[in-house]
Amino acid sequence: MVAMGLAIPKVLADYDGLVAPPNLFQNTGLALDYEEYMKQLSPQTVPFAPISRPLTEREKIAHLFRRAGFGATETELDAYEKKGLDKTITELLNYPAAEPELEDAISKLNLKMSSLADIQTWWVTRMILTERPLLERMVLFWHGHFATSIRGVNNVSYMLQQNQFFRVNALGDFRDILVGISKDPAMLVWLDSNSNRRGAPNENYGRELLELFSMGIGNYTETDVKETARAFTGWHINRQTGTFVFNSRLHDYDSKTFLGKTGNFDGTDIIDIDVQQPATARFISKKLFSFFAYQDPEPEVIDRLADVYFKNNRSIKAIVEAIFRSEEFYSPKDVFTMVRSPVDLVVSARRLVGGQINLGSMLAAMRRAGQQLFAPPDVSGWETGMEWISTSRLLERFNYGATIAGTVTNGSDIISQVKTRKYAGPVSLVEFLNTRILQRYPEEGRRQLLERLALESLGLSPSTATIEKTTRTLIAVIMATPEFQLE
Amino acid sequence: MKIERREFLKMGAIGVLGAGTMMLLPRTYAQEADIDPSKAKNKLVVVQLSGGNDGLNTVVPYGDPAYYTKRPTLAVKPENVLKIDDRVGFAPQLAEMKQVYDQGRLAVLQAAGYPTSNRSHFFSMDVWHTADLTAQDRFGWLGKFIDGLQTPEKDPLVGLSVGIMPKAMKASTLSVPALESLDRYQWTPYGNDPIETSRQIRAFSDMYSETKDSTTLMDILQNIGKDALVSSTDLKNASRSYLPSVNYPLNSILSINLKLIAQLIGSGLGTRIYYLNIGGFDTHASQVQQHQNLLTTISQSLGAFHEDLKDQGNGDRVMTMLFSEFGRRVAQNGSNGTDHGKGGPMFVLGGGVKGGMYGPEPNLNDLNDGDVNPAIDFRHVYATILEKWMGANSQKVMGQRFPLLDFVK
Repeated sequence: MVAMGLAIPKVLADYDGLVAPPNLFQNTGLALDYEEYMKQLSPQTVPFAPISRPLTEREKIAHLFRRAGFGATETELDAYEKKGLDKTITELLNYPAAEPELEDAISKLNLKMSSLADIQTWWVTRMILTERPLLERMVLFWHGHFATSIRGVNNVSYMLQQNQFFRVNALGDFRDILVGISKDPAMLVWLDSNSNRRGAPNENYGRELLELFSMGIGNYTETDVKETARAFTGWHINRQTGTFVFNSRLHDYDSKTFLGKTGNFDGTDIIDIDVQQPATARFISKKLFSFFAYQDPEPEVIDRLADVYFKNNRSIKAIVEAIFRSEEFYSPKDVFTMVRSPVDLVVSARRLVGGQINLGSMLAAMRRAGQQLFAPPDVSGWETGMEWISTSRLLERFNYGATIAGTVTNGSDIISQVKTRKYAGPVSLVEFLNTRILQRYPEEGRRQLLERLALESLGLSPSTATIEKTTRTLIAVIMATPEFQLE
Repeated sequence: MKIERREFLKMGAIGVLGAGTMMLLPRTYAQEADIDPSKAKNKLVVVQLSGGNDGLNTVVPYGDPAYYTKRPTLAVKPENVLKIDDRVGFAPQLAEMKQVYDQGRLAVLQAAGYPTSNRSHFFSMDVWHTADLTAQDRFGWLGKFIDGLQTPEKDPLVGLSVGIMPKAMKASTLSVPALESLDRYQWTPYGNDPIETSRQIRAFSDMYSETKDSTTLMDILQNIGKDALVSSTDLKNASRSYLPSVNYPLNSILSINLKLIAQLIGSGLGTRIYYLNIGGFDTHASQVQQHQNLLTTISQSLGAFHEDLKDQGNGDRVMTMLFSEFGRRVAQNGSNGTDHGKGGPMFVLGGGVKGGMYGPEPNLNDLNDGDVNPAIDFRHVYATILEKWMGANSQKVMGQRFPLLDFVK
């Protein structure tokens, strides 16, 4: 049966602690070999789910929550399936204004909110516990879009304040978001706004506003950049109070010409012109679609979303809703074709397995796999897609799976479910875990490999302790599959 | 010249896996670049200065009055310049670099850039990484070098980045590692029970034993997983304890990483290209102290690295190249800083380098929209390194023939 060689590659011969596995059937009196045993054990298993067929309602909801949140557990899926996809989308978008239980849980962490680790812990805890998953996803989107790093800002409180701004405006009017971020303390520090003065403009913010935040390169000229910088002169931060201040003395009140329009513009005027541009509508639509669905959407998809942008007064919520209700979102081109970002991988793994794991180890795993919250690599934001994957980062992602497997408490949802359900053999155990962790069947070769591993680890009549050990072993290896890297 | 104790290219992935050799073959890769075997052991270390290094405060045109007119508070005073001739000299923080220059082992390539200079960090960095002036190319110039290697040399460890994963190293046929530290570069199973861990390792190595030929995301992930498995074993063997002969400066990531690279080179690892990044050069405001600190770090770290390699006997086999995505505006801005500019100096050092100043000194009275006009096309520098140092056919790697410069012996 086994397509892949089962011999231990010599390359591993010097791996610390490697011991030859015992003969599984030794002392059992059974003259079976593995293949025969497996045949008896698993006459039929469910085939690898072909994702080219239309998804079932439940699969669509699972897909939606992998993208719009950090994955839904089986219990959550049961509840959403009863409501149906349409209603689930509506609820996802119209989340409550507050989550008192979550705030309670966070206050119990007694965070001083004075270090990077504090605010990272604060945010990651929200991602894990929230019942407003789309809100957390949107905050992550805006953090990557207006990528601001503590490495340049050097102020924890400003970074937190920016995160709160993203929360309040997560699904708001893109114009308000651009105006707000232009006055955001962290952003003002990050892109040198205080150096932007009448007679000595600093182009840093103006350039990124056009290039990365709203229009995209190629839709404006170098002169537009210079004029934008002039319009934002005097938009400063008061270092004493940590708040935005308009320093009229340092503002350039002379006439400016931006995208063909001339006037005595300030920053808000520039944004008002900017958000009317088709280029801006297309740019933010494409960015949102690529964040939730696939890279390089078809031009007609972008056109459709840009239309939604203009018809709904630049509402981000309307664009996001259009994405979640689009056919493309549930198409084979999209489903399981996105590489999980490190934050997504780490949080989703924790949510899908349930139980307590050390928050510090989660933060370390994200950092090592290439993503530190509040510290994106530069103002262009995080990597996407296969950019997340190198041999070293892949190993870090795999190793986090082993960390979860080893440290998740016995109270973990998955482990307690495994222990309370009736034991039905290795194939059933692997299927149970694949359904909950991968939310799909792995490729045939890997499924067989997992089943064989389960069989070896369980032996023929496993105790509860053995079943728990095997479950942890399987979690470690399932999280090291190619399948788990995708969503 | 020291003989490498162990070339993983021959004994690592291929030799160890034995029958696995065939598995490496089915990948399709671009046109093979002809490699000159006599240069097959030469190594390149690339140091990226991110943010746009202020070239005029690095190689200082102290003989040009315009420099002092345009930079009233930022200019380096003539008496502090480490003079090369009566026109230019190094910033005072570059004492170690000046020593290497005086030994004839450092080439300064003045006003490097490209004809269509772009002042966006990201666009310009992509241009430097891809050597494509439209920045559209998906793969990097070093990645394309890797793609052109013959199969036996095309090992996951042929390139190694410490810290970032730069686009420059992005190849179509394999993904080279970017490490945070060496000891984490391996798969660690769950638990302590040796039998249980060995079962997991066996499952893991089975899972990543095959190379897939398709370009589905799943198969690409599997191939990178295999690369990870093989290369982590190789790297583990190369990383024994290391006592360098020189003192590397403390408290600098650049220095720690250069020491690590010296260690790997000394261990005989067959890696051809190492890539490092140091950020902080985007000095829009109050730049003096920040820029001086960066220059000090660079000079001390590279000075130590250069001496360490010489002591190892590898000084003539390693070339180090420094670049930044652009230089900065000639005139200082209103906040004692400088804005994004165009041309800026590149540095190439090592035993294989013909030291000296290359290219015309920037003419501060003939500026390009306030910036130094690029005088040396960086693609000519790349082509020179590829052809004369790495032994590749630069035309095949870069897709066109560029003139070769004279800074390689």
